[in-house]
Amino acid sequence: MAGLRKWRFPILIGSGIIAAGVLLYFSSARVSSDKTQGAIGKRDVYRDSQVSTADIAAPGQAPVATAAILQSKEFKSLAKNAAFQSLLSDKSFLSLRGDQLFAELLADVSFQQMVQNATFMQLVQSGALPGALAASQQQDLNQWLSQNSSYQALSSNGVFSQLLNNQAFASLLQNSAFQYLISSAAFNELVKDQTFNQLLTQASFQQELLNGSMSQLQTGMVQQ
Amino acid sequence: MEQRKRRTGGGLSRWTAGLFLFCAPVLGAGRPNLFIQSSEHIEVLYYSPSHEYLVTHLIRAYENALNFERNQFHFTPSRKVSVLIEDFGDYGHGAAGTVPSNFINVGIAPFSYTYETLPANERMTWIMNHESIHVVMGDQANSVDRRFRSLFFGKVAPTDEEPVSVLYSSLTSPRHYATRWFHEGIATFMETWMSGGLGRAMGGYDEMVFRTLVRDDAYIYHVVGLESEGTAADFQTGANSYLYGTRFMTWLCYTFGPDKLMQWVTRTENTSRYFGARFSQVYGMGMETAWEKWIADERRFQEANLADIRKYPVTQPQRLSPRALGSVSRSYYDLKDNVLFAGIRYPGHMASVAAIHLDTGRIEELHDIKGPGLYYVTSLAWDPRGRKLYYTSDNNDWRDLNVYDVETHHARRLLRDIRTGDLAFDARDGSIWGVRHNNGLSSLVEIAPPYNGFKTRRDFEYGIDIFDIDVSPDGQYLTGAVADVNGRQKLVRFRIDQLRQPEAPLEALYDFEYNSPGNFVFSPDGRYLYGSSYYTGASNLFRYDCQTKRMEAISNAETGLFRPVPLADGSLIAFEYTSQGFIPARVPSQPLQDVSAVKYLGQATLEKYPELRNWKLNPPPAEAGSEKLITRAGAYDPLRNVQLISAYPIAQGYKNTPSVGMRAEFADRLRLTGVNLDASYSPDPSLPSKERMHASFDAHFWDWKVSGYYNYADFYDLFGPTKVSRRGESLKVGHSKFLLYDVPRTLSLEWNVAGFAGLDRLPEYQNVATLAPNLMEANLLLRYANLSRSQGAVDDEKGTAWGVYSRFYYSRSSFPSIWANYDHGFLLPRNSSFWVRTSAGKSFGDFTSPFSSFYFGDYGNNYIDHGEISRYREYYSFPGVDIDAISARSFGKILGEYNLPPKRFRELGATWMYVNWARLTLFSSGLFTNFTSAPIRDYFANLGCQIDLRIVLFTYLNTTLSGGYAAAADRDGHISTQYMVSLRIL
Repeated sequence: MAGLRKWRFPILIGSGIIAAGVLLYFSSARVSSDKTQGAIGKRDVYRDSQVSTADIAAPGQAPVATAAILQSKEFKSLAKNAAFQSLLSDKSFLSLRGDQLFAELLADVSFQQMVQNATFMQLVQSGALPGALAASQQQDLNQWLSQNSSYQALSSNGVFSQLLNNQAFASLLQNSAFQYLISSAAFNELVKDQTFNQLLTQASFQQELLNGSMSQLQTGMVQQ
Repeated sequence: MEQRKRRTGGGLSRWTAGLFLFCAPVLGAGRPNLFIQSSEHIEVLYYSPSHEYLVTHLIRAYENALNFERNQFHFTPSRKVSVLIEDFGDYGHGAAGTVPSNFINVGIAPFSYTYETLPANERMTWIMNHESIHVVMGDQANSVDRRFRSLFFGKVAPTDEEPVSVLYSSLTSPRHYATRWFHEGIATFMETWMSGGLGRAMGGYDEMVFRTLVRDDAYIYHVVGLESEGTAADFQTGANSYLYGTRFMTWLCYTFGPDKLMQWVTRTENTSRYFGARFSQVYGMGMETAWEKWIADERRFQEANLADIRKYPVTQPQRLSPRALGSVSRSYYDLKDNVLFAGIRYPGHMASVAAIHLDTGRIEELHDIKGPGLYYVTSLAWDPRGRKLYYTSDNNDWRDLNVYDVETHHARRLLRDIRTGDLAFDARDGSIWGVRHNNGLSSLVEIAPPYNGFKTRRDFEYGIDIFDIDVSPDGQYLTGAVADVNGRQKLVRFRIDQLRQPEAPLEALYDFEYNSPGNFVFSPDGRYLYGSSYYTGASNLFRYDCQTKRMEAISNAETGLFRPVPLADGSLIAFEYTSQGFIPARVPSQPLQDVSAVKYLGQATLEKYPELRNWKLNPPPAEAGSEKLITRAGAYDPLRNVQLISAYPIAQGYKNTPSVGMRAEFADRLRLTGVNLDASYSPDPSLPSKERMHASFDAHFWDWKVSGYYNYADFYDLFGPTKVSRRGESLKVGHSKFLLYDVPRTLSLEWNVAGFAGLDRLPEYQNVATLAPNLMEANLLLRYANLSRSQGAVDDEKGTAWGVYSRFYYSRSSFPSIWANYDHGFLLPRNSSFWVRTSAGKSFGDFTSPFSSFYFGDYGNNYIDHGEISRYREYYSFPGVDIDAISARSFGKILGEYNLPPKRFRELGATWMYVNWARLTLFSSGLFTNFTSAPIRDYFANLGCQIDLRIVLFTYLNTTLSGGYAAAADRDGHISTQYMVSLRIL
């Protein structure tokens, strides 16, 4: 009896620990079960993805394409063009180079087509279009155009209508650098140049013109 | 009478033809500069410097995959793999081909994660893992195959111009000729393990598809029926090849182990050429038998899963529509009309923006969706105040933004090629938010009224994709799911006012780990976000409490619940996945405490065969230096890269005699430039000696074509009455250009000029002798088409096509002629259609000359043929009378055509040859001739039918057996009859 009394506390403590352990085991099993018992079961699927993207360059960098463009016969031909050389050093062009809207506009097929249209260029350079666009809806603008003998042909020009819907064009018309550029002699001469127009349809050239290093372009020109 | 076009580049294989079409938008702006970078085993071509940032990564990903495949499949590529990087679509995609050369097409846009049908890990690596397996399967060869490749100077591509090429192709690339489910199944199975478990063999959607088939006791396609019906008439169409193929591969691995699977799919010495025969060699049973065992096991596996789900009370959706809607977009509830607006797409109907009337279940198709997406159909946004639906079209290309006015039922396009989807409407200021994909990158954009342009509000770096966005009712927050390169996904939130400032911070609401937060949308009071997730294995509905920041499960679905629509009264509508597609249903919105997890067959396979973990590809160490892999970099000129593709013996017919000879094909890697040369000799002594030698060539350079011949011979002249072989010489130059390319709307302009010498028959009319041997011909063609077909169709079912054609003959004097056609079709129930086809023409010049007449007669099909099967639609065809039997200087013709619903066959044939479908067509036409000259004015009428039976040979080669019977009557009541039998090859 004395022996039992001696072991009474260790037995009670031990039983308590075991009971607590059993309780803990079952309660924690219920909480953390990923399978089917109670709570919201989580699917058990193997996922061990290991990906390295260290070799992905920064979007926009294209040294191979740049070098290829600078070596192309089209660029070699264009590099000799005084108007192109003048454009590259034109302040208005330099300020527009980093403008995303300008990039979008250069890539726009309707813009590429319309800059070759003398009536369109005359309209843009007159300064009438930005004002008319700012003040009116497109239907009103078409009415205004159809009443103006100089620009009547544009009112039924589908490409022109498409360009009017281009937000980049509408925004840039309000930009003084763009107005200056589009009126400049260099730009007007270039848009008549077949090689420039051919290159302008190329995403690679657009990107190089806008994002490429100016020194690279000029080095490319020197090498021609 | 026969007017087959000769040599129009038909030698291009399917993928190159597709590539050329994909290129059309780019080509429209002129020929793009192309660039190339290559390593030892791969060359990457691209047309935009904006895509160059991915090139070295792609090269390394392929080289890494190839290292694995060398060990796994003992594979050595026959030639470098050419990869084209393109951005012609708004969602990423890949494609691969191995005949005649190894080619991979990589669409770099972010993937569509709708319903978690694709994993969200880094996609260039994932695409390369998947596509490189296709290359292994098609290109692998043993010594016998290599001997044939050496004999024919390469792998031969099958071409309908020389059907014997099919035989050579099967000799040089035997494993290319396997079913699509085989190729997609093994690629998807391998992709999963190569990516460390992130693939469709372990995908929630795949598991749900088969669990649902068992739950619904629906038909599970057998091995032949999958190809003949399952990939065409089922709402998932071609995706079934992936789903079934992957499942079968996984079951084979689970049941028999990975080693046996590798033995089956690997082509080594002493293995059967045909994949089906090799299966029997390895597994000791036929593929059909194994497939049936799989279906039986699949039923047991899924019954166990369903029993697990049913351990707790299952959510019982109260269906709101009597039928499944196939695929559905995000939807919106309109209290005013008690309808649910959604984009829907299901077999037999054009994809449309539809109103589902919740009181009656009626489905009102409001407006067709041009270019619907397979699973997400369209991106849809709803302006409840303006009562307008905004939706995207061209969902597989560059998306347009459109608006549909619910009150006026008028739709119009707002912005073309805006490349933006995942639309969400901000009710506070009327702006539309969306996710734009461009150059492989995602950005959040805002399109403010009047919706004539967009502003980019947040750019994401490569590999970070955002999707399923929503705007809170008060216009304060924008939420969305964001995935990173490891495939982990989070539900995130932006403040809209901060998005309009630079560098808007992002707040992560809940980390879903590797599960997709599907379509989380705000409750009308803005407190909760409701969405779905495969967290438990089945797609269940969850709600996030923006106040307590707790996520709670609110469904225990047997199949899957998606795209919840919380209503103002606290109730919830969601879409239940069924074996026929999605069905809108009311579901409870109360949180649940107990939901069982679902077991995946892929996981069970991994647990049984842990060695599958060793198939994971680790990225090469950083010190490997990707740039050192590059062996060539610069401009790519197609003309300078033309090489011999293959050369092989051919048989041809010249008039009524056979000839034998050789064909050689040359092309560059992208097939932008190429030339085919044929030369043959007729040994028949009855032929004049100067007519025994035959030669022809056709060359193309971008959209220019040059062709010529000397005593033209043709394979199909060996069979039947129609002859295109001609005596003499010819040289032809032509050009074609798309004036409009907005698929399915196209307008093309084509011209060609040809000179002929030594002719004895007219170039276009075999039974009409020429008066002079020399002839100049010029053609100008303007063609428009806007044709579409619904899911399950075998032909165009709806739309308009017209053309204006002019021809100018010069032989001593000039003979101009002009004709035009206009066709219009109407979709009728069950993939049937009715067409009215009209044509009219007039020729000029000396009316006694054969050059100044049109000629009509016959179906136009040869016994063995490779032209259009429905040639009775052509203006010159007139079944019931003989070839060229009716001549006219002017004509008008009208044809009515009823195409009955096609009958698809589930189990007719074996994998190497099976019958796909049969279709009966009834037609009647009236022909009025010489209406400008009363004395010779005449008219004819006919009534006929044609039945077509599509047979697929060696899994890829579509062959059509056609039969027809027609009766024709002239104005005097004389009746003549005619039958037609034709086998169209390829």
